[in-house]
Amino acid sequence: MIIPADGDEGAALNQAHTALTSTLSLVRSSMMRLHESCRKHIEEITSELQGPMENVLALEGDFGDWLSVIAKRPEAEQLLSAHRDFGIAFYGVSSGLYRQAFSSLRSFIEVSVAAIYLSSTELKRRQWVSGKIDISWSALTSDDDGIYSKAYVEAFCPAALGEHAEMRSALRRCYRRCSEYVHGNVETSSLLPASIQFDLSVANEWLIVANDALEVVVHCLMVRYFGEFDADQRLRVEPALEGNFPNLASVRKLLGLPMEDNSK
Amino acid sequence: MTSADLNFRTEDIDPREIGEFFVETETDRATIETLKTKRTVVIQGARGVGKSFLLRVTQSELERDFGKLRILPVYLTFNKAGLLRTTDPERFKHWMLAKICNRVMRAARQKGLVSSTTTVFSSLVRDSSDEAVEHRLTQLEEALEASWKSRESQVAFDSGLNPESITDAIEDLCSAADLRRVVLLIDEAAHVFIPEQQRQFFTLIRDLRTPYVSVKAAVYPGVTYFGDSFQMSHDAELIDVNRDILDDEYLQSMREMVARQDKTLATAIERYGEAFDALAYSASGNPRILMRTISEALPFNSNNVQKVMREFYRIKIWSEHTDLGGRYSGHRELIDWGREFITRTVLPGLDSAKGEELDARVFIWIHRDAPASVREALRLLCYSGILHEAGTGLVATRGNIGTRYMLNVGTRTGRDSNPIAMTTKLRRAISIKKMVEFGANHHAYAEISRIDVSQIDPGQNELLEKQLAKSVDGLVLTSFCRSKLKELGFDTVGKALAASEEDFRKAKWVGEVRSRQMMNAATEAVLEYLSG
Repeated sequence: MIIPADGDEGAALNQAHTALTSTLSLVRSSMMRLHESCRKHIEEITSELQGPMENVLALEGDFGDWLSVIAKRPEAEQLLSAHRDFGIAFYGVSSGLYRQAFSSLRSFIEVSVAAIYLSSTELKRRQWVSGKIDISWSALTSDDDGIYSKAYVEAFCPAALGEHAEMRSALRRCYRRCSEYVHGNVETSSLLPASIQFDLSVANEWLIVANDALEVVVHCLMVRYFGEFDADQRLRVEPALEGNFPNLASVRKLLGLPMEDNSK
Repeated sequence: MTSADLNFRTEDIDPREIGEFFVETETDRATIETLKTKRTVVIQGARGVGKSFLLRVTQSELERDFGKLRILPVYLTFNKAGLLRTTDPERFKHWMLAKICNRVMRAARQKGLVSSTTTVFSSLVRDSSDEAVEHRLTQLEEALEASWKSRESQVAFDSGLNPESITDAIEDLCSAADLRRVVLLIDEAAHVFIPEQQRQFFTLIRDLRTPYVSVKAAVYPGVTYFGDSFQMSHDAELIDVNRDILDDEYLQSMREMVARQDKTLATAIERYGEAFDALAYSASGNPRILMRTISEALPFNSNNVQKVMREFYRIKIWSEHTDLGGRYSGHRELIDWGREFITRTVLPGLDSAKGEELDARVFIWIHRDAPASVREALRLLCYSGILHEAGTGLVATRGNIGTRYMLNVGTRTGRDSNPIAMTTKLRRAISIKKMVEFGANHHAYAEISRIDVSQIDPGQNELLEKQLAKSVDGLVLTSFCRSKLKELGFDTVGKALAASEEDFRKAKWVGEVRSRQMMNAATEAVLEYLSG
């Protein structure tokens, strides 16, 4: 609010107001220039990488389908938060904010895997949500008792035992690649453009990592929850499982799809 | 020991990598191109012959060319776990339609033609005008699901939901998204269904046909029942999938197929070439049998191949055929008879005595007037890959007409003490012109020439009971034959089946040929209802 004043004092105040307004418009115009670069980037990436982007969004929709099935579970809130992280990550890569896109993607992986993993121990989950305990990535993916440990998979989804090691590697790979971009190691720093401009190989790599990450997270959801679902819940996630993993033995077994019986 | 790199089933392969494993032959190319057309197509073949693979390659090529062709491929199967257990035809139809609807929507979403209703972007943007499109198909799918899930069927099924609702909605989608058509690639189309559900499925396929929807269904021979409303010649084009072992490219294509799956086997296959060729011929054009037998013969060498050929073709292939009786219990007698016919009549008849010249026949021919139950038993052998139909309406000795079948080569050579050498000798002498002929009245048919209706428990098979109670007026026979049946007091299908051909011959002007036709017509009317 500007206080009316007389004489010299008033002139000084008006001058200050003009300077502030001009600074504000400078901020706005430089942000708008940045925004324009992002807009141009969206045009380029959606024209160059339309197919891979559609694939990733289809998987993101599948993740959303799963969330709607487990919406009443206590950990749903954390999963919804992870979903929003994914949305921001996708917007980031679309706008040319590559490092930020990898960062949000990593956050998506971390929060969703932690929420799924801790859903099996309600006390720890509550302590994690309230910030009383931290859970490290290495603990989440530990060979001995992490989400893809033999013990965890055996307890929740024995059908997936043949594939858990491969899935664990894929999960670690996605997380590691995101971290490399987040921490700006030499290799990734040299790959990232200095300004907002479309870079086919970086954008493509993000889409590949995002695709793999979504696939593994959906697989984690299957491992953790499918066995507990009733017939209706199973029916709702069936298209996502059959569509993404038609070649996985666990999915074929859980959905009753034909399998080769080698015992004969 | 088995090889981790060999995929027995197409389903073991990631659909995105399917092209890497495709060894194209001229016939495969022609089939794939037909699968891309507007026509309704039924592809038929024994287990493991490559039907799923061809559907997946078609899907992959249509995906690749989507920008240019604007044809949306939709691959789907009806799995066992989600199968609706109901005898109510309307609920079952709605269940199938809901699944089709869901998969079309999913494919459309994957191509970015329709927004996902669960995307995070609708919650990230406030006051968004970019909300997910509530496409008609989504609404339809929800209505269909609500309908089939409702147990109060009488109320729910006045919903007006029918195949036309789907075809209209797909037409809308095509027009909004500039699509030429949607191609439904339905794998294992009817396999998990009981025969009555299979008939409903094929009626639905017929009803779905429009310029905007084209259905391709993969089915097995022998165990697929199309029903009365679906007529193959009018409603679909039938493609028989099989690799011709007499084709010059056969061995090379099989070698390449194995090499693409597991490069490490190339050296061993080269070294034990005769053993590989014996396995490839024994598989009789069936890639899954070849992959299985190779996998069981590792480390790949002649000794292991000999052992596997003896085990697989003497025991395993037959036990798998026998297991079919558990699934189609009403057909158990026919299944068992088929096995006995091949192992006790056909194969011993081809054994040569010491010093005699090799009998190189692998084709058998059956007279068209053989009992209908015999022909059904042979069709069931086709499902298991033990026989393969190799021509109908073929003239044999004395101008008789019948159907030719190729016998699985392994079932012949696996019986020998040296199966590899036997296969090598045989393949040099195989000729499609040399056949073992079985006439209309071979003594081996006696056991199953008539369906024993007295064994049928009315409470167990309501559909069969209905068929048996039907008048003989509905049988595919001349009016003369129908009138003779009634004259003799056999006015229902059940009564005709309880009689014998001799009983029919008591009527004037009814001899051996007519009495067989009468019995076959009555048998054919109930065959597909034996298992429900």
